[in-house]
Amino acid sequence: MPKRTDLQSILIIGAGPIVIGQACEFDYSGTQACKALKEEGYRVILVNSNPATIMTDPEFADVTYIEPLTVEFLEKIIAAERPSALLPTLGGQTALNLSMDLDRPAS
Amino acid sequence: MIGAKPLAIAKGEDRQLFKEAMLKIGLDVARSRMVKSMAEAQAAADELAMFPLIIRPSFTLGGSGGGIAYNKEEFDRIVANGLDLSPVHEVLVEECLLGWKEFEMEVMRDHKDQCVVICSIENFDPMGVHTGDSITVAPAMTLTDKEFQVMRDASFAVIREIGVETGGSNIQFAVDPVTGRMVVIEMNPRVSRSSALASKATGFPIAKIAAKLAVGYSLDELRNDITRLTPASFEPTIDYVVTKIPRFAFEKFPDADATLTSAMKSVGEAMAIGRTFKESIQKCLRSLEIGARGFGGGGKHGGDDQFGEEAINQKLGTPNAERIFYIRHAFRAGYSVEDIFDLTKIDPWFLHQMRQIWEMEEELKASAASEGSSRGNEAGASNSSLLTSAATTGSRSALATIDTTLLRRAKQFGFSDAQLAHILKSDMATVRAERKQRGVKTTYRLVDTCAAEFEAFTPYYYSSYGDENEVMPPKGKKKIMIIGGGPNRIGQGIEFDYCCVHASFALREAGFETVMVNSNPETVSTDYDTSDRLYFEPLTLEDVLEVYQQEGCVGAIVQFGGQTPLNLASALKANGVNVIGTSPESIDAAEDRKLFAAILDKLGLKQPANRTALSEAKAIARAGELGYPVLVRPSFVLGGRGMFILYSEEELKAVVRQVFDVMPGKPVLIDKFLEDAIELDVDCISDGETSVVGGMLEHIEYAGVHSGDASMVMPPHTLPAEMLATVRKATYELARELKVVGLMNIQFAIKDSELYVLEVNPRASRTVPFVAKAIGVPLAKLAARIMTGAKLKDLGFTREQTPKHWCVKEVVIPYVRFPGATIALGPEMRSTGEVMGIDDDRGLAFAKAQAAVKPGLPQKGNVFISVKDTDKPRAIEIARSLAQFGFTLYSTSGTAKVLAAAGIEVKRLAKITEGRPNAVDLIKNGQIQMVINTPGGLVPRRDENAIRSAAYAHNVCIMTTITGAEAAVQGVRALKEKHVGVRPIQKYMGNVDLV
Repeated sequence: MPKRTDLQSILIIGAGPIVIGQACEFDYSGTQACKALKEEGYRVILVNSNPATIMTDPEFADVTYIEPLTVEFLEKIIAAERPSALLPTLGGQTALNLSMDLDRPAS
Repeated sequence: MIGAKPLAIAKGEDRQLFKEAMLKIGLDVARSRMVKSMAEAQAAADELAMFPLIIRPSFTLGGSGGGIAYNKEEFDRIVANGLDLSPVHEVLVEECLLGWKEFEMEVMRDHKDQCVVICSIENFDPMGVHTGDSITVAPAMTLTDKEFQVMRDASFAVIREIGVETGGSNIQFAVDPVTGRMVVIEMNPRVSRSSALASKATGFPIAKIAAKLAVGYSLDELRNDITRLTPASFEPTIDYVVTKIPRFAFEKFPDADATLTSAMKSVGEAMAIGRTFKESIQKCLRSLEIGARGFGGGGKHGGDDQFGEEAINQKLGTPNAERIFYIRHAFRAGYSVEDIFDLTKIDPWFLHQMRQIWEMEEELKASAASEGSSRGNEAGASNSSLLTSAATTGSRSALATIDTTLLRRAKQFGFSDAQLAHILKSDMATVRAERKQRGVKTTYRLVDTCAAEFEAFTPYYYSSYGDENEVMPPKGKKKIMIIGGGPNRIGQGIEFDYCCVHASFALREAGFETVMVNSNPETVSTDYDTSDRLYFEPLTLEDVLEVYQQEGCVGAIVQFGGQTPLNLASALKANGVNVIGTSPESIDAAEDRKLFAAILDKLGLKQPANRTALSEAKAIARAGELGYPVLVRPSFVLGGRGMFILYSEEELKAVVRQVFDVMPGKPVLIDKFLEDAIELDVDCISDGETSVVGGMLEHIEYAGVHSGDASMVMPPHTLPAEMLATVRKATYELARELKVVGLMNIQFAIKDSELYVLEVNPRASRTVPFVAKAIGVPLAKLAARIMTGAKLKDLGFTREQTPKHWCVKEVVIPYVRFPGATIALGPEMRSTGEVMGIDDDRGLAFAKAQAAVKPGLPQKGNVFISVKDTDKPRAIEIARSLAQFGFTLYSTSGTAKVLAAAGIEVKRLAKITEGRPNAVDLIKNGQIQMVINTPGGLVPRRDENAIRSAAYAHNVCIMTTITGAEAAVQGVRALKEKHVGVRPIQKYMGNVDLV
């Protein structure tokens, strides 16, 4: 099966500041994911509060939000960008937990 | 959600759901019972019929109140305590897997339900140590093919049952070394630290493939970038051994427990690749950059000291960062592999390997000794003036006469020239020359995912001592080497990797071939497509030089990888490496106190009065001359280690011994401390003709807080334009004087309208990525171009730009990981990471930065405020504003009196020493939303630290400086009065004023 054509834009959540247990490996994985999805022609929307990462450089995503990784801010970003999908598995535990929190009111 | 659905995430993450899922598919898990009373606990213990047992209370923070019970009596005590501490009065009684072998499988699945194992990983440290804190090895070393297949099948069953539709997962297993029983421990339904390691270990880009699988591709449709022929559904095969060793930062938290447990404590890691485990682990030990040269052979932890049985047993019996080095001490003390296994439960296969390394060291030593003694006898017959030269001849002879096969075998065992020099009583340069002359040369092998079955197209290499050299022919472009930053540590982290990656991008664009050397598997710089050529190597002189010569580079960049490459700069230059950018001489001049003082004098710039002392008595006398407060620190130390701000001779006397002990024999530096001075970080770029300030960042805290830990505001928020002009002038003069070509960072202090220079670093600084994002100019890229000859005017960056919006930097410090640590900002850096808050409003930018480090600023509730005496006048305004915002204030006697006198309503709380309820009780009950507590004195009083510690543990917003508290007030005001919006950084581009 070729790539999905029902998706136009994809939101990627980064891992936030470097802490013990969650270091720059997620800059590596997030950067790879941004590159891979852009290569496929998707509009990539990235959120990460960590300015020291390569992934938050303006050329890696189409739209880059350096904003706090909280449900409140993510909801604002989702409202502004209306992404067709959220890829939750590339920003460590932070992104996974936030994705679950974002999912909760809907389910 | 794509990739993993919420249900799958829940099933993977929830302990009970996961256990049920595993049992359903017939996999074993650790046996456990949830109990709610002593009687149930008793029944559970009887049913499990074993000791030790692990007791885990439900919903306690960081697993507190749990423990391991080795007998009935301990069991009763821990369960009773756990039931009491658990808010739901529930504890899990679980089978203890301590000492079992631990494995991880990195698995990927696509929507067609095709599964592949990317990599198997074995933990050198058995169960009981968090996998992030364990030494790990890939592929698994001690599994038979049959055992591996069982684990592979189980991994696929797990990923299917949990229902991760597409993407990567990490599954952990434990195996009982006695019975072979295998249990599933946990799975991460996402890309993890281990997948980064597995990607680097195999060359298989897990995150990239995971992203493509999530949008509908299947594994067979995606090709492997490395071979270009094989699809991603081919499982990688590796014909080498990869080792990862964590790096710790216990020296930063001396009060904390340094035992390794199930809670992760490491701050970074190094990875190394070798043909054998022995080569791999020795390379990895020297990659750590902790002073160890490998497993023995001199250096830190590798000397010839004898350790007593008690010390050895203690270090082997309890997991700790130095345990691996004590394995050698134990061999030296006559321990057998079995003895060490009994103490550590490290698989005997690994211990035999370590023993072989140690035996090689002994063999080399013996060969050197026999040579040395025969020469010594000859020398003894001659007169004394000949003795010295005879000794030299003797040592050279030990090297000269050593059997070439033995020398080659030693290199194949991973021994560095530095280790050989120590063992053979020679020096590194001589060892290198001798082995090269004998044809014992470094060869490079490819990381190709397929054990050389197919041709590889990505030049990703590791060194070894074999017959074949697989380095690909050059493309005819000039090659520039970029030396990375090595393992992450506090003070040297991702910011420097950012700079290295930019250098590589910029130089590739400019037509150079880039050669990256680094040892950190977590980074973007060690991704195989970041640079034209990637060498996964330790960052030592020997390893870096070999790569430089192998590739025939025309230059090397040392100013981007933090202190690691800078420390190599002079030695590289002495060995013929063309260090491009600012010269090593200028780098040294900025570090050398005398040279630097002369430069400042010449430019008419001031620095705080300072002295140097070589003894404790001298230090006390010199401090007296300067007058208190003083800042004392050891020389030749980074990250503020052993640095103190002292307000009296009494305080100095209490710590002076400690300061000298950090670097024995080295002088201690004493500076007049500028109290309540404003500190400013300036990043500047220069091409030797033109210099441009990239950004000025004003610290929120006063000088005295390490710039790595300080929160900062860009552009400066309190300094007048005239002062900024003075700063700018001083910056440009320093850049010219130090002949900076590339980046430079200066820390200034401003007190009573006087400008002081605190420190100059002619290299990329920690704040470069922050500044680049604030002004929308890729400074690190420009700097890399400049180092290869471009000029700023050609690159179109000749004028300083000040953002019209506000950017605030805030940091995270891992206090919660180190219970008992002193909580206060100080001259020693302890933060691991940073965030950025951007907004048109300064208060909101600060509030966003706070929200990003969690917890954010509260907008209602209760504030506990207790400040040191000198802060009390300013606390009044803070308290008044908070009260106006509707907060209820709580204070202890001293602060409460001052606030009440100012007419502010405040509720009094008992000090911890006075009784209860106190602030800690209220924090624990969730009744305090913000703590403002500024520590007084050298060592924060224990009760104050208890309050701050409780605030961190219970995720309560806390301000520990008065300036921080003032910024918080502005932030709260902004949150209450203004609209909080979001905006992508692309829309901030060009939002600057030209200076």
